[in-house]
Amino acid sequence: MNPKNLKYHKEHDWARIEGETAVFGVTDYAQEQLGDIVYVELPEEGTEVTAGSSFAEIESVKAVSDVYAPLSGTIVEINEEVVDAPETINESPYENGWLVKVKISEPGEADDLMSSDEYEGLLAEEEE
Amino acid sequence: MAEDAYRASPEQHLALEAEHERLGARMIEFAGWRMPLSYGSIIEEHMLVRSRMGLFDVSHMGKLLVRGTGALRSVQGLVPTAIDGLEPGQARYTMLLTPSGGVLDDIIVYRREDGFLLIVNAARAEEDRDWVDEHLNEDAQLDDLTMFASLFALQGPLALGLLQRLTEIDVDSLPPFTFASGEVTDVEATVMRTGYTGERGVEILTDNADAVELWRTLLAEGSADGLAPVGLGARDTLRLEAGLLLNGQDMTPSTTPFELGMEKLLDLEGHDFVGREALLELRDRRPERLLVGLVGEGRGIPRTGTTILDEGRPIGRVSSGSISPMLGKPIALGFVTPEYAAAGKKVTFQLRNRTVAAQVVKPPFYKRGKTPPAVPDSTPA
Repeated sequence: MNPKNLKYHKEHDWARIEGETAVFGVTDYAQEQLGDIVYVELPEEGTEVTAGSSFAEIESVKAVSDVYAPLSGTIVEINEEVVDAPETINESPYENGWLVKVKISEPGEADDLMSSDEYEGLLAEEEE
Repeated sequence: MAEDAYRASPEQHLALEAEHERLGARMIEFAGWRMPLSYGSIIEEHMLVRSRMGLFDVSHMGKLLVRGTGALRSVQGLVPTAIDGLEPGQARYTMLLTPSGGVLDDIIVYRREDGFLLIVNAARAEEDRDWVDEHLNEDAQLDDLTMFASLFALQGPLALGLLQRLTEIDVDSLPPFTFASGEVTDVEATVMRTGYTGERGVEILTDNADAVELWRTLLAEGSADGLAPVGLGARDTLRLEAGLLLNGQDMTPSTTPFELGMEKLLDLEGHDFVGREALLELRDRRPERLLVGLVGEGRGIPRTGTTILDEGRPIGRVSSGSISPMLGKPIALGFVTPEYAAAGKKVTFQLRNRTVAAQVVKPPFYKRGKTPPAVPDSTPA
């Protein structure tokens, strides 16, 4: 269910590492828990983000949630489509619902992230 | 609140709990009940009720039946609205008040042949039962039907048409705030022209023993017209969009009917009731705050407790907030100081880390038939 080619952060965010850049998004579990997403607040291009710190805000009918950066870096692109149509995150959390693209500043941090198998283990624990 | 914790009842269970789980509902605890929050998407359920129809299980609502020769006097002494003119089959929206004129609960009183049925909020059901019991006339008796009867709401523009195909009751002859009993599908039920969505529709009361059959038959018979179950999440967004208040959020014992703009419920000269003396004193005073509607002009939901500002100065507080699926904008009910209680006043919401512009409006935010649904431009081809 969770793509094998992504790295996962315990706050239910993912990173797709593509050389020196990475794309961030939230996991299917996160969008499922939030329900209908109605607003997304993304930082501007050029903003520095720090692994484990909130860089964006996603709001559903039920609740507002922080999105945590899986890796540190500088925002080089934001997904305008999810700002205009936040439900894209519900529909396609791993593809069209990506949030930002980041130029990675600390490549070693990727080692701290989880594989899809490890992330599914975490979900199994949270379900208990 | 320790007292609430002390009074908290054990978890209560809908007759249809397993049915909701089978339908894939996300269940939450609400007022001591396990309730369906949504069967998929809150917004889709909301739009279904606005465009076609939805079926809600609201069996958690308190159902108090007052009977006996003293029933009218007992209930009349508890509500500020005149109910002595109600004929069997008629209902009225009203409130229970504290002696100081604050709102304990908002309720609907249904005048039956055998007495008065009070449908009260689930979160208040036990307290209301005790409150009514304490104020019973000696020739009246109280039965709490909450655990024995199920209550469904069938709401939306297609609701009455579906119902008419399934019942011997002449639905067309039932105006809003009336009710009748008879067979619905093959089940004995009471059909009441009340609801909490701003749409045409009914609420249907039946014995728990018949509830699953009625629910399944309604869903099966209505599915061709799009009927689907709707959970508490959309119930909340629907009622807010329709400008309907939620007890515990938009009204509390420290809120008066004057602050809510509900003077029309008050029969101050006509009869005595709990809270009357206090309201007579308050009547000629200007309330310190008034309930208004607010529409956000930017992004972000003004949730309960959000501070309302004018140029950085707090002038009020949000009591309920959400997004309006019909308007595509944030909406809220909130209390503001009286000088801001005028449509068109510009204010701001203090959200987590920013402020968002908003405007005072007169609820409802959406009115059936009045606000055209947001549709794409229909440019002739």
